[in-house]
Amino acid sequence: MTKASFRFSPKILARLGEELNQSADQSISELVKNAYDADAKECVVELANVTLPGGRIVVADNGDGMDPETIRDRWLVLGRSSKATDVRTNLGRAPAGSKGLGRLAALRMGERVVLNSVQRGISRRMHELKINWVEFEGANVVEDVELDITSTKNVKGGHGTRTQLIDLKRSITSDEIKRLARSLLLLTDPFSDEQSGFQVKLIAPEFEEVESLIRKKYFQDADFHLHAEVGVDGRAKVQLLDWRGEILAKDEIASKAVKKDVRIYKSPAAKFDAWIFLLGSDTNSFSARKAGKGEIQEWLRAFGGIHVYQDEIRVTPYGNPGNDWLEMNLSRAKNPEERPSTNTSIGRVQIQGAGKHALVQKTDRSGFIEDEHFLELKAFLQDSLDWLARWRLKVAEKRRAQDRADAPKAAAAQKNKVDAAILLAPPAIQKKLIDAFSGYEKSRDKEADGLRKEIQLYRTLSTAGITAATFSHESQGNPIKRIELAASALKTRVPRIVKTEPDRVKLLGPVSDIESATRSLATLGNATLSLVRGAKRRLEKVGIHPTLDQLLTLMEPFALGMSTTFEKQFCTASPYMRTSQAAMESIFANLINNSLAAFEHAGASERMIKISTQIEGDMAVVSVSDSGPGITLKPLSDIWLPGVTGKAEGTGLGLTIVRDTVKDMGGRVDVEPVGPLGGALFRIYFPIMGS
Amino acid sequence: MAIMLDSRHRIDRVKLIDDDPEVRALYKYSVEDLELFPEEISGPIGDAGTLIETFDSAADAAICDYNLKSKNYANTDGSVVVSKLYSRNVPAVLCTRWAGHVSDQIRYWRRRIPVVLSPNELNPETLLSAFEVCAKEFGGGFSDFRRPWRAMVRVESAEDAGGGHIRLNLVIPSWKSSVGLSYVVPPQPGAVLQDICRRAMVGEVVRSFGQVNLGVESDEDVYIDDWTM
Repeated sequence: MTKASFRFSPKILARLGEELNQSADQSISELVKNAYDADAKECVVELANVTLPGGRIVVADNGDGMDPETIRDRWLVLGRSSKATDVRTNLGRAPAGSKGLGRLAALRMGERVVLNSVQRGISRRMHELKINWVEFEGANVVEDVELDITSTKNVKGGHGTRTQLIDLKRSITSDEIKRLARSLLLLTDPFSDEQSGFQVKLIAPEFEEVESLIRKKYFQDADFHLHAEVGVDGRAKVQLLDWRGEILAKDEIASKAVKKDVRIYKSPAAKFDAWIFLLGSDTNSFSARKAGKGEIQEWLRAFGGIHVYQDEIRVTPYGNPGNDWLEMNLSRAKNPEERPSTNTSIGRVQIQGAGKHALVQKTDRSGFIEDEHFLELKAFLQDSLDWLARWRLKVAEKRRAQDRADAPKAAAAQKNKVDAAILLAPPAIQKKLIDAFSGYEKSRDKEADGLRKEIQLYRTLSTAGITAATFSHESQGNPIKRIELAASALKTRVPRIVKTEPDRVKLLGPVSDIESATRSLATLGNATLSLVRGAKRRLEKVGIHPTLDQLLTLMEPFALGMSTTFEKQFCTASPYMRTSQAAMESIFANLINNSLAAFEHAGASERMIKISTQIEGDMAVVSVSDSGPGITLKPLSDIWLPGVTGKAEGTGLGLTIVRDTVKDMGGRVDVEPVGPLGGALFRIYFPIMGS
Repeated sequence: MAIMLDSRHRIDRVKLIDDDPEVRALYKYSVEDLELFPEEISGPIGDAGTLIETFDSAADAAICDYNLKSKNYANTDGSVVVSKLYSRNVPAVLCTRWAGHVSDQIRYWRRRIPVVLSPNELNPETLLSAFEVCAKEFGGGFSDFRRPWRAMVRVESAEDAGGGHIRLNLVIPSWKSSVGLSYVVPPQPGAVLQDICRRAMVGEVVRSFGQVNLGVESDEDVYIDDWTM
């Protein structure tokens, strides 16, 4: 009898390594997962000269490390993972790596591998394993190549494992490094406010760029936060939260077939959070959003999608760019109004690796095996999104019904007349007329919708203005009057009562300080009230230079209080137009306020605002520039959107008013983010009647 | 003690009219420093007519705030009170922080409000000087910027200013031909002003005449009185 056993050709290494795990980011992530499984607190990935073949990758952690036996019996054994997910590590982590195949893919990236490991608690010995893949090519079977594990004295102390992949077979592109950075940052749930106990660091400039983006966390700017949970009993609850976490709506997810029946999901217990942003072109209405649309879009492009975390470690490819595993984009295409897409949302699903309906990852790490439990989880998530869409649709319907009820009756009567007139037309053209009128109605409704939003914006503004004016009036009327009267009385009485000059000076000095402070205080109120004077809203001939002069005089004490000087450079002409003084003032007051706020925000040392004018044909061009830090918001066009502000207490309305007012006056406004003084430069083109 | 402003006008007592008791107490300082007797009008004072009845035109003067209606203190503005006191030869000064903001509202009364002081300007010297200006005007003596001249007033437009008030937008060519002024007409003005308001409200440009202090520099201090067609 001849005894025999399976043996493996070295080619199997290429099959299992390169062909199962194709992408560099996925392969390196596997080594990082090994570090996580070894209870490391930190894992550093270093890339050296990788943009050309022959480079090197080093993955080092401060985990438990391995002794020679562990290296031989576990690390080098492929296909049999000792990592049962229900056996936790000493730190209570559920092992994330599996079967050792992911590791093989990473190790095969280089021509050679050097593994160094120092076991926790036995730091005097370092164990080293070298693998030279060329040696396998000449061998008949894998087992023919003997590998030596050497142990030497370790003088550096510490513990953990260091894996070097030397002489990389191919280069790694900048895009791949970015993808790697993204994978590493997303590996442990970066969305929660608490820092994970496992930090991954990639030493590469791309990493810093992606890291700074992920730190931004725009969750508070989301329009909706959906939170859903399915318990071990399979019952699912869903709720919609506002940005503070207050519940807007909640429900138990009912069966689609019988709506009153609560559906029981055979899914692993899961928590689902999705943050949804309304970023369409028709949503430029007022919102309290602090970040610009462009910034949020960039962030969502980098990290958007619904990510899955099993035992706190991300499972790819869910949430990768282009991965729409919940078919959100398809649903959105069917109903664009009330559905999020992968570009407008970010989310995470947290599940446990163990339990009754546990999900199992595929060997090639391309996600979970799509068994009944996975499909049930997917159904739960999709049902949650459906619930949100229904809720939004209901709200939108309610709003539309209200709008319809509010629509002027005269318009309805006119529409009836048009309908009746269409019926009188020959049947051949009736349909064309109906279609044309329907198109007209839609565009008119859209316009009306835009106007309604604008009105909402200006109502908010007006309320702010009225409140400021009331406050100014109150503070000016009595408290300031009392201070002024008292100071004036002191100024009169001190010289009479106090006999010696030095003593008088001692008393009159502080009185003078009180007067000066009161004048500054009064300026603020005066400015507010002056801007809201009714007479200024009349249409009349308004000179650009006199308006600027008045405004600068009004604001000068306020600006000086903020160490800011104005520089005027007016042309010799006297340009004027027919408008209201309030409109023209609002443009410049907002630009000046903007500059002052920029100085304060940046803590600028040189603070100057320059206002210059010139005539170009039948236009007057007013340039307002400052020595602040300039505008960094990208895209630049976002600065005009209502609600976009870089300041914690900003309203984000100032530049929207500038844009709208200039437009209403038939002019236009351009901006240079960094002008000649270092700060922003705004150029306003006014169509003048004469100069 | 009393102060003789001129051969006919004497002041013993200065009445202090303000809806804020603390402000009234502060007015006292200037009055006491002139060694006159301050008397706070604690209110409520109802309408201006009733209040005026309590004044002795031979010995009283007044310091009066503009905003008297915010605390149920009076049902009229300080401009009306000062103007009516002036008409009865009682020296009175309007003391307000709002001169610039309310110039349109008080222009109708301004012919009989010779001096408007802001609180930081109020001291014994300015107060005495203001009373002297009043006394002088009672006798027909005007400073250059207060002297009335007959002048043409072109009312360009009118609009409802709320509460029965009409705002006239006008130009006084012989003062400054390119400066527009506002003039708020209170309810129930004289027949001529009523007619002007009615015509301007329907879009007519109305050319009328009035007594105007053409020597004044600032538009805040312009008055128009004795309107005629």
